[in-house]
Amino acid sequence: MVVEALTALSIVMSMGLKIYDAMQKGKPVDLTDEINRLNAARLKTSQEIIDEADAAMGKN
Amino acid sequence: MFKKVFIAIVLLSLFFVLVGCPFTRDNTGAGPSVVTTAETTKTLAEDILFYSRVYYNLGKINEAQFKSVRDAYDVLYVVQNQMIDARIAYLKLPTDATTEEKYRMAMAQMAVAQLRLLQLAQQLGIFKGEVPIIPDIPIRK
Repeated sequence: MVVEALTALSIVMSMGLKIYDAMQKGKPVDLTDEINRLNAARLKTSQEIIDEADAAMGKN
Repeated sequence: MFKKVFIAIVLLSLFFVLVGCPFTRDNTGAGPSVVTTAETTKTLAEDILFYSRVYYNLGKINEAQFKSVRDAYDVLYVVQNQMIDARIAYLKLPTDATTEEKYRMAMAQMAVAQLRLLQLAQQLGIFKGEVPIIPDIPIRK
């Protein structure tokens, strides 16, 4: 019983992956969001951070 | 009874497979996303430099120690930008071996620079796994 259930599970899983791959095939991939987030993740320059810290402590 | 349980298991597994597919499968052809890594690095590195400046202003670390953190940050700044540029190039052209190689190299360099900055921050007591909050230190917003 357990063996049959596991076999069925693996068949269903592989079928699910194949169906998903087939659905994605030929579908245009939108990279805009990922590129925008990557660009937003660029670090500030060290001088900007230093100025920020100095300003937070009331220094010029 | 067993037949019903069996059908329930199959249906349940099908549900998890269909729900899980979009999260586990990548359709860009350029490997798993590194957006979260880049975002985490940004927050962490900027916080480390910010608090090291605060510590320096308070006289808790000397100029040479602050300079070493700043230098490590500057290196990370350069390699993170290179990694982002390489990643964007790789996303646009995932089949090209050169862009893949450049991206992998940039990722490795970024990991080294991250470790160097974290190591320094830990040595100087600026960062111990969480943002230091002491009464006379402003919290970075």
